Amino acid sequence: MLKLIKFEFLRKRMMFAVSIALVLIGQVYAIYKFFGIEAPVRAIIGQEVFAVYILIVLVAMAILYLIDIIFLFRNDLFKQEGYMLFMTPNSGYKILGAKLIFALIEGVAIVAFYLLLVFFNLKMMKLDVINFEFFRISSEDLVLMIKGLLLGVFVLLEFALTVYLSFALFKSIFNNIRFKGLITFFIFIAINVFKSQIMGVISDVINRSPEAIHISSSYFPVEMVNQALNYGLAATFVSAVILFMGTGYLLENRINL
Amino acid sequence: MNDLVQCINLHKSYMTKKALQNVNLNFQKGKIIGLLGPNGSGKTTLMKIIADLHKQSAGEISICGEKPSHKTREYVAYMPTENFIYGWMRVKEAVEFYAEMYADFEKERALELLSFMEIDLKQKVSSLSTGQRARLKVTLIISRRAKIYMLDEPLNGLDPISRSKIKECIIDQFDSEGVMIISTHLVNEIEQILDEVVFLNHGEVILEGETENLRVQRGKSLEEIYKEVYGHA
Amino acid sequence: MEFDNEIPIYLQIMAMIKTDLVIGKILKGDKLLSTRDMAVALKVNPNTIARVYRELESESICFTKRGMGTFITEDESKIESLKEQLVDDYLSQFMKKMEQLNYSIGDIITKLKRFEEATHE
Repeated sequence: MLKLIKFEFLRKRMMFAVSIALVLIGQVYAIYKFFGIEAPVRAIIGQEVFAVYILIVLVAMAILYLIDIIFLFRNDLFKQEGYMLFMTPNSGYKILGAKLIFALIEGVAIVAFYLLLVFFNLKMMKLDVINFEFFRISSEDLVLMIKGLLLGVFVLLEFALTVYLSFALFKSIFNNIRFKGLITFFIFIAINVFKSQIMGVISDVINRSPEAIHISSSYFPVEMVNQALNYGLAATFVSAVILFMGTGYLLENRINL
Repeated sequence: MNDLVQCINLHKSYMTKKALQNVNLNFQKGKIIGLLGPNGSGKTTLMKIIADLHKQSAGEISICGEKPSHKTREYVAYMPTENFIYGWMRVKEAVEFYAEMYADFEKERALELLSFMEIDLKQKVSSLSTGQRARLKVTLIISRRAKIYMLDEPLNGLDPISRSKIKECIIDQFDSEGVMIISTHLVNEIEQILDEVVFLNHGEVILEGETENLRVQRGKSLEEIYKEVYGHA
Repeated sequence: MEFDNEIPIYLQIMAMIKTDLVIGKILKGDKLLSTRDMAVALKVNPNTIARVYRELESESICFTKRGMGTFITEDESKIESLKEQLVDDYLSQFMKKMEQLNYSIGDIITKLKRFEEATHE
């Protein structure tokens, strides 16, 4: 297992180096631009600029992360080179598991990196000394923030797993028939519809959907947000496990590479 | 038990076509076997089932008495026709990957063979020429101490030097404790190194036997037999 | 070595070794290449060479010393008779061809004499 995870790291080392370099260059540019704004103006719109910047970085990272973890699986399943991995005497579950653990580590690393960026910018842009209510971060808020970001990682991972499952179906049961691209896409849609149905049923049963609380509402008690996050984490986890088992089973017992 | 691979009534069909039909074969220890037939005759499908990369639709297959699974891959060394070595790797990294993943991989031997094959360890796999890549593929597979070796089209589309080196490597490294299965449609190139041949057509075994016996029986070379068998097909 | 793929390879290699022995390219008591080395040198299956050595052994042309390898017999008479046999083989092949051309033995002898004179001039 460790060997497989190590292999995934080895393969991504260049990509990591390049992305870190790009982010750092972007960061330097952003700071340069920020201080290009005249000081009085900066004092007024500083926090908005910061919020927008940090949000853009978040969305960009999330999208890139999602693409990256989908390709993590896709490249090995659909490209010739994947034989090198799938021929090794490791079970399908193990190969998939290593990819997921790797993706999780990557996600956590991105979260950590992101948090570092946020604080770095807070310091650099001297917004922490302004001491706005919004930016005064208590340890409780920090935990929530990290939890929220991790939930984000889990949701993306779980989403990637639905993609994995449809890829695996495509390469096993539906292999070698026409319109496989189209079929895969419909399978993917079907899985998602099915999942949301299940989610609907479950949330009806416990009568408390995670979406019941909107982060956007002006008033959000920490307790409730925390609870919503917990529900979210639990639901994604269960769903991810089911998807993992299904995909692993297909890889191990039904695959036609 | 001398039968390393046993297929009983093996079938493989996809939704729209039959890839293998009623294949009954035994591959024995110490033999070099040629799997012959035109493209689409089922050679690769059979190899992939043995390598546990495909699952049969019906029938039985046993690898040293076991059903194919990720466990049997520990002693099955399969070389697909595709360029299956990660292009981002350096040759050295590919060797290390094999050394880590396969308990039966002999690194020393691989390094020796690579120098015979004239491949630079520091080179990136993606920058190797077609011939070099093919030589690297064979080296990685042959450097294992497996029980079943399968080379899918090892000589196809290669320059004469690569062909000759690969042939020499196969002969020199052949392990009498294992079985070597080579698929090809370039019969002329390898007929001198085959103990037995299996002719496949449309997924069926249409002729099999010992190479020397076939020559005596028919008074023809394998290549001529091949032409005769597939001439009308 | 180029093989004729219509004839069993092991027979061709046996014939090759016998010829080498008769013309003195290999001498009595010589050690033959190991099965593997011979296979690599000729680019044929190692099992084929193993068979060649087995057959040559059963004809008492070779013998195996345990752990040492395969050697050509020390028996001079064996090599002599091999030479005879080879000559007989060529001769009968030759005769067969000549008979096809309706040459009697007398015709062949006259022809051979003329051939000898022609090559000596």
